[in-house]
Amino acid sequence: MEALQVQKVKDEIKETFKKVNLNECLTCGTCSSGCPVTGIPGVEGLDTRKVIRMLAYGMVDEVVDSKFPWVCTQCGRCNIACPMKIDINYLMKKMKSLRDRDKVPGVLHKGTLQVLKSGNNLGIPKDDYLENMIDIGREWAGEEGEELALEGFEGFKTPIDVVGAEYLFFPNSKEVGVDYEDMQWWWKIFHNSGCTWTMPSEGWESVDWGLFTGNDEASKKIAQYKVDNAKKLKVKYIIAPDCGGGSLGFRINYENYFKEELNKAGIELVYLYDVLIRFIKEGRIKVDKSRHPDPVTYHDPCKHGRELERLYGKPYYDEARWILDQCCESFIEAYPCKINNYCCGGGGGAWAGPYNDEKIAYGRMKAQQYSEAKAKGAKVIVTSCSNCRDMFMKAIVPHYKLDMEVKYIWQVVAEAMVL
Amino acid sequence: MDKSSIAGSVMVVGGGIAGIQAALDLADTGFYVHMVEKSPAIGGVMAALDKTFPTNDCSMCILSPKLVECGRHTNINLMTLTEIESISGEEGNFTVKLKKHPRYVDMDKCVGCGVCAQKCPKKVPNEYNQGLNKRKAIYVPYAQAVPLKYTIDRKACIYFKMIDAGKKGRCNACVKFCENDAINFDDQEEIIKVQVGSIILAPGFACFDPSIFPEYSYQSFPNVVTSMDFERILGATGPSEGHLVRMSDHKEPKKIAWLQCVGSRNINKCDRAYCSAVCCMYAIKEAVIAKEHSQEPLDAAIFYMDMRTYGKDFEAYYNRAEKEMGIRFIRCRIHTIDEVEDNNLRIRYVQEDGTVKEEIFDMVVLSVGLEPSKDAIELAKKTGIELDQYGFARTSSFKPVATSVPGIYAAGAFQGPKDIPYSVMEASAGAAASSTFLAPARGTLTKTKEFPPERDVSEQEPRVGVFVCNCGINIGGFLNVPEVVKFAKTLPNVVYVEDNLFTCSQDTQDKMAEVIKEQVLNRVVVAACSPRTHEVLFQETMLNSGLNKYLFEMANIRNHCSWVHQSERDDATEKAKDMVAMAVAKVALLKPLQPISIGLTPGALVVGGGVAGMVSGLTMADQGFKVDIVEKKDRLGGHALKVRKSFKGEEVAPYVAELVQRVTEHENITVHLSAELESVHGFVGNFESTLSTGAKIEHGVVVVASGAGSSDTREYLYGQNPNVLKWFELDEKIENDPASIKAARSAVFIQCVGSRDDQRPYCSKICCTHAIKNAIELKELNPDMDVYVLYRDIRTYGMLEEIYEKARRMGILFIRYDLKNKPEVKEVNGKLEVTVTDPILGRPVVIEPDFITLSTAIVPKGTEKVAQMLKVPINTDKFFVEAHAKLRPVDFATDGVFLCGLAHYPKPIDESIAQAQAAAIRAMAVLTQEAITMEPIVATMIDREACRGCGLCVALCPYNALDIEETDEGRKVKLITAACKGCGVCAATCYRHAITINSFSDEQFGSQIKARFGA
Repeated sequence: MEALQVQKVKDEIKETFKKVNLNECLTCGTCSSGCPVTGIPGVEGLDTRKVIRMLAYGMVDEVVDSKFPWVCTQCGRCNIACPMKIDINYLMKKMKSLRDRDKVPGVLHKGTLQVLKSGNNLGIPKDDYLENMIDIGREWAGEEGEELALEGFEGFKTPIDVVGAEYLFFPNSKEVGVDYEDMQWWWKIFHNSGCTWTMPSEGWESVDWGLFTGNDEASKKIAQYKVDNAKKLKVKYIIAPDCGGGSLGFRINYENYFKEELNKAGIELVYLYDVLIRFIKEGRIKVDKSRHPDPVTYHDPCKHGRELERLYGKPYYDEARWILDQCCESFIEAYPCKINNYCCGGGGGAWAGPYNDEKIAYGRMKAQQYSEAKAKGAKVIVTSCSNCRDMFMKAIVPHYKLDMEVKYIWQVVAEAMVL
Repeated sequence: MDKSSIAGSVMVVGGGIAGIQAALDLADTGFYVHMVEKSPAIGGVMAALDKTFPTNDCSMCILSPKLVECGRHTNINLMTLTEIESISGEEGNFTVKLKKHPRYVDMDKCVGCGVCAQKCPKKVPNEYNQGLNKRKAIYVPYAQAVPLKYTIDRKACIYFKMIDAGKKGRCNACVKFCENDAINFDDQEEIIKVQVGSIILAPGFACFDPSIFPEYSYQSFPNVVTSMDFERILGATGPSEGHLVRMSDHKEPKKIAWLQCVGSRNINKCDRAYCSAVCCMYAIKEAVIAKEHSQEPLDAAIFYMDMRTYGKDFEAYYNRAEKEMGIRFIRCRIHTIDEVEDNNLRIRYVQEDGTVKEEIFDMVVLSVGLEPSKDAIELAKKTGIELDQYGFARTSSFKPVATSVPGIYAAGAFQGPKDIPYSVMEASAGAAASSTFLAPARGTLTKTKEFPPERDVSEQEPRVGVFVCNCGINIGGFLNVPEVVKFAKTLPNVVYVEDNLFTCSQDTQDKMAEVIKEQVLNRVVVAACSPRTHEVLFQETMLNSGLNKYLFEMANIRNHCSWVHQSERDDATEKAKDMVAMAVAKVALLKPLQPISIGLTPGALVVGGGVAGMVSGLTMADQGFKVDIVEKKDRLGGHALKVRKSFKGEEVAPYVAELVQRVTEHENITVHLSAELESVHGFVGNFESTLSTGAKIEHGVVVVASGAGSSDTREYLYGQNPNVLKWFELDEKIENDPASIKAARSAVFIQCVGSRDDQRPYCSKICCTHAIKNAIELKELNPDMDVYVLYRDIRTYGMLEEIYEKARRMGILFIRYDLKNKPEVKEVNGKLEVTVTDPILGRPVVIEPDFITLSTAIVPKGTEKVAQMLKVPINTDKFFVEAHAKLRPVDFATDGVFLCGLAHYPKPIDESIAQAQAAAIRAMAVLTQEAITMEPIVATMIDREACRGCGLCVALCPYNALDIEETDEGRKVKLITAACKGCGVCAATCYRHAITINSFSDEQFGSQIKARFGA
């Protein structure tokens, strides 16, 4: 095999290495042992430890040119266990950032540019967006005919730019543009909770494409849209997007740049779990367990769980289980779970990225997890991130023939609602 | 300070093995010891271990005699349930305020019968067994506890719970059933003040709690246990009585994994950057013992980062475990443990080439690290001593047991993670250091032991008592003890037989003394374990009951029956019966003997003038003993002259210079340079040595500190290219030619050059640290230099790990290689080129260094000659062999000869110094005696007329203990009793049957043979 010459690295990279503890690596293998990417085909035999070792030899270009940082879902599983506390997640994001923008895989960079240009990654024009949202609201409210009406939408009007609303909600362009029916559950919950809420007319994209491509500047700008909207609309709460990357990207920028100004404006950042729990606990909505007789299991999205715990000390594990306990008759845990859970395989932009075979191979860990839960009786996989849900519904369940249903947690709540 | 105000007493805080050793050493050298232990009994962690590495000795078996000795030493005042409140005063005269917690049991009345605990209705988790089973609210911590006195756990006790809740106390079960009225609910906390001259802190360590790692699920998965839990699972007195079972279903595991470095070498979620120094060895030991315990062919796998088997005989133990026992060693740290069906545990790991494996284990053992205990940190606050960043006592390399407060010393794992032998060494070192200032007050506070007058039994018919020990389940689990008891009752002269759970425990010993009196026994047989460890203990009981201690015999039915015939219960029982019959036959014929007392020369001969030799010499000379130091070279200093800095960065040369000056100027020390030991005659207390210079020296003890050197090599172009250096040559280069370092672009270190290979299988222990220390220095002198360390396992054990971490942080690159795939060094166009394969990337790395430093092995030099002269053993690696690897690390089996420094095994300077101090105090235990008391089991002339003076015995005696003299009756053999070791060669040789060995006569042997085979 070709001999390797140790290379000098640029000072800027050296600084990053120092910041993330890279030199402290003991090559112990903890990261790779816990990483679903290890051993999958299509990544030139690389694994996390090898990548870190390459960087230790100064082989930055090789890593930047490799597929690895893009197949890595930045799930943070390595970070929590690395005995030398190397911030591998940050390192991978940095490696992504060093890729020439015209060589960013698939649509990721184009998507980012689109968000920055139009406020959403599909480039849906404002007029189309407004028209669609209002039309859908009318349809579901039954104003376009009985056959389009949905239960629980009586008197519904799509709230856009409602100044002074309690909650600010960001939709996902995938739902706005394609899977619009997926919006019904949140809308139903809000509508029946008696709260006031709104979606913005501009800069509404929930997903953080800057985070996906290692583009901190874009990430900050996307967060800025959300902050501006919140201030403009004088809301009480911003709901962190369900999309894991979207919520974490926003949280990071919130902590780094916006916390103070939002506090001053009296605007609080809440997570979807907080909202659902509040609605149930305050009796604003009523749920009935018997609507979900089938045993459910749960997938902890990395960026609502492990990454929040690692970075900010507060994950949402038990909250999700509490909500399910209100809405379902039986719950079966799939191990490993909570901080130890495996990523769905679509995190960190991987779902939107082009490496399908790798994604599927990554998902073998999930297939193992859920087939074990299924053997114990679980029939439905519930999660609370749009990426995770798509990974399961569109990739893992069909590919690994799991024959299980996949639902959002708010879908479970909406379905359990007694009106 | 006025010498008359110096107190001749020392306080030892902590009753673990370190505290016990320090207390015994001080009490044996003329100081009164106050031993303070916060729990109800001494013994510490060692009392909870199953076996110990690398000898696989049963931990309790080797500890128990020391516990008992400590418990009944006339000059040790044992204070349990006691803590330090405050300290005032200064070295020589401290006042210590102690708080003694109530035991609620009167120690004078409690006989340890255990009825109270049987009747007590309240069960709580048993700390001794890691909470894996229950104990009662009134309890003793463990079966062999010293003192064997019950304690009420107030927090658990039903009576006290009601009292503490302001109600009337109910229950009283213990009060009702205690026949001795020993329960005292009115017991109160006491404040006691004690004056001492110095203080030794040995409060030990705590085990790291792995609950903080959610990925290991220690709290929630029943079959994930810690290494300490596992010790108890293996232990005979553990929750499963020594049966290897897992906790979920009590079934025997077929597959166990050990995960190393749990809470060590980890800065994520915990601040434990250091290495815990003992876990690699204890994990191997646990795996070895588990395999031995297992009925199934157990699959044992150890997941690790670096295998740190750096100590004496450790590497051989590791090799044996891997190659002979088939233990799997897998170089990977584990990310997560997943529980699967049947509470089995799934581990996914990556091999070095990147391939992933998944295995299901029945059990996972977390090899948890050592950390400072909260109590120890509190103690440090009260005493005002400095701690390091983790909370271990801060000491310097040159004063390894001295804390920041003069007169207060630290020993054992309180000073940093370490194994038992090194804790014992440090404890002895602490005893030596703490007593130097107090030497003028030696003997002022000590008491002498009084025994009841000896009963004259010479005219009586033998009345033999037989005590059969179950040794927990060590014996009782493998042979039929009741049948042995029944059989013993049928033997001639036997008037009393009983069996005991642990014959060696203090309560049994006290009871035995009573039985001897009640039954008017005049001979005793104990059928238990080895006389090597336990005979002295039982003999003292004989003395306590007014019997001559030589009217005693042991049958080792543990080692010879239950251990070696584990799966042949019936045959083992038969053999035990035979051995008991033989012991009974012999004991009836034994005669009372009186110890031999001989005067001694209160001086020491130290072989070797290196740091170890000088420190041990100075320690003895400072306490007033005459010392002769013999050094082969023409200057003092030894190996340390090659070393520039300690790992903590202290300059070695000024320290050595100061030592040399002190030694040279010391009024009690004579230095013999360019001199070698030519011959040694005599025995403990009375040696006479001749040096190559012709000097003759009389001395009472010998300290061997003959040092070691560096191995030669022809590898890696050494000797061919001037830029390939040995480790100390780099030291010289840094010292003498810093410009060349500053100009260099790249440097390579190659580790294990001549260590850990077929030819020299041991690890040289200090090379990793030394190389890393120098690598750091290169990087400091020249930050742009690329520095590489090519290694096999980095063995910066304990706090040394700090410099490994520092080196990595500085960007020094560490590349691992295998013995099968060593680095290649070539010369290309006059330039050095090193090729080594990176095991993670599987790719060769080419480095063009300006120079290469080889970490050549540390090799013993000249040990064979010294060994022959002193008749002490050396091992296959030619290092000296101490009396016991674990508990007698600086003694030789030969009385009066002690060992320290590199001649024992390679070690860093702080350990050499501690060991030298330890050897000194052990030697002073001899030198401080008024006379040498010797065992009377020696050759004796029984038929002087029969002796023809043929001289055969004289020629064969290995100890020069016989001579020929011309007498009126002609040539006769003269016995030099003091030199006699009782080996029996003379008696076996003498065809005239003129000589015999006391207690080993032909008649006595004959009776044993008859007892076994019939007349």
